[in-house]
Amino acid sequence: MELSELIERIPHRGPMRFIDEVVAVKGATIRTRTTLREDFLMLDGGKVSPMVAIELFAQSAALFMAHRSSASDVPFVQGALLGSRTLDADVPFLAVGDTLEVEAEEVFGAGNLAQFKCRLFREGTEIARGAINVASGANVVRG
Amino acid sequence: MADLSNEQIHEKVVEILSDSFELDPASIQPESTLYEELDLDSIDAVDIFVQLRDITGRRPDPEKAKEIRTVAELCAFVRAELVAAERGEPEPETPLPAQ
Repeated sequence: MELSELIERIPHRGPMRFIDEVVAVKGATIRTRTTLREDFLMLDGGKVSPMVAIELFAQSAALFMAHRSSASDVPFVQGALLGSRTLDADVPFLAVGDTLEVEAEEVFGAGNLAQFKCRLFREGTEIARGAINVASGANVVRG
Repeated sequence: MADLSNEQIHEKVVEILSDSFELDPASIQPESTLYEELDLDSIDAVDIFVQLRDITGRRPDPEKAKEIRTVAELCAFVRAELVAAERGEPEPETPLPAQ
């Protein structure tokens, strides 16, 4: 499967689709890219809180899972963000026009739980980092 | 890290558990069960094994991790991972999530 096709495999649509493209997948790490535009959902007064990194991390993790399932016979199952133990940001806000890249590495996975360590870059400079816990599986999505 | 004694491994495990989950170190005994007595859950376990990776330098084997129930078993897991690292054994593949 082409990397460009992965976007269609995760459930995010319309304004909730934050990721523009998958840049690369290597081993347990995925790199994604997005550009903040005028219609970005989380835009507030021309600015975006760096807290949006959590959702960028989560969607990148979903894309990683979609990529891994595409390389096997196991169908992709949707998941959910459980939470984040840490999130550190070096900037007070993001702005329209910023091109952001996420690097997310799955550092541990057991059963339907996994943790990703993630970093957010703006124009090549790391500006935020954190870890997210995610769960996948039909029961998780159904609640 | 390969030369860590069993006592040092226990100390590091206690440090991870007490710091991460605000547990009283005195309450963490080798025979303590992680999920019943220490009241941890499966999400906490993910955090534990990620931190253990910093000690062992290896991606934890999720199949072995799922079998661990006590602090002593957790320490034995760390010892086994350190030995595997010293022998240069390959890291486990991460399985696909359950359906």
